[in-house]
Amino acid sequence: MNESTDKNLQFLSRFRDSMFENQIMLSYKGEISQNIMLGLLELTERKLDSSNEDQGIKSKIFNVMVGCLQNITYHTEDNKHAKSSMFLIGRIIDGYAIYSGNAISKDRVSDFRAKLMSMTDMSGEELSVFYKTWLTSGELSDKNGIHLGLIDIARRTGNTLDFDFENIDEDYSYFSLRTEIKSTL
Amino acid sequence: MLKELNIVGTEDTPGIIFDSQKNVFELSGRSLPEDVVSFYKPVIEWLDELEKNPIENLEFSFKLDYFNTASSKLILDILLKVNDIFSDGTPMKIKWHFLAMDKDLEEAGEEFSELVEVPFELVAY
Repeated sequence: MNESTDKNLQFLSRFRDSMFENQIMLSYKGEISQNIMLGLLELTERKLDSSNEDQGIKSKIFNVMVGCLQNITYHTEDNKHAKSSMFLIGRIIDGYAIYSGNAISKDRVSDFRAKLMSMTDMSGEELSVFYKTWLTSGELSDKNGIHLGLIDIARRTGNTLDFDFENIDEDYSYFSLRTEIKSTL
Repeated sequence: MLKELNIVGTEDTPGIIFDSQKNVFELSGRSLPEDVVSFYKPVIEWLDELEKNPIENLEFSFKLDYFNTASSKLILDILLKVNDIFSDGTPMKIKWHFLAMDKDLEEAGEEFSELVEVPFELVAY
């Protein structure tokens, strides 16, 4: 074993430790297209089926997945960091944690952050009213669609959104989102 | 006579059969297309035709497994269209099917039912 092999294997070992520690059952890094999304859904479905997960949780996971992945697609269109998008599902004691990350153009950040902040303060009832208002408002612009996607994630997960923005370069920030799906919900 | 609408379902688009001869009006499967508006255009157009030549006691069945938020907007458009025809005096009915365990799909049905006047039945299977 030469030095570089040793180093590579150490990386693999650290990576594995981290995957085990967070009980990651699915992890993806790269561009997210419609076809990649469908592939990830299929993989997730197979894994959940093999662990005999119930349909209620499965449906919730799919809905949150699609919301996260389409949100990534929206923010990373014509974005030079599209390949740095990430999506992970991990198990937690009473359910699943869904992680997603993507670069977002800095000129969108303040508006996006403000929307997220206002949502995290809402009760379940308020989110539901907010959702229905949007649904009946007659708008179907991408921006609202994606915004609605996040409202939908919030209301389906009992508003467990954790998020953060990190600076990556002059024009982009990296948006990280974590949410939980509980078996008891 | 209304033309038959028959769209075969795929991984990300629902199967749709609107067939007045067989008396089947059904949407089933998944709905998460990239472009919801263009996907549902023929459905909306078919309903425009129905509005001109209404059929009494028509029953629309929704048998969806899951759908994205953009699709829920279009599903509401379909329901509102059916609701309009109902309000103009043609009896119609909506049946919303959901797997008994799937609370989210049941709630989605309840939410839609609150937004229309047309008889709306939730059917657990």
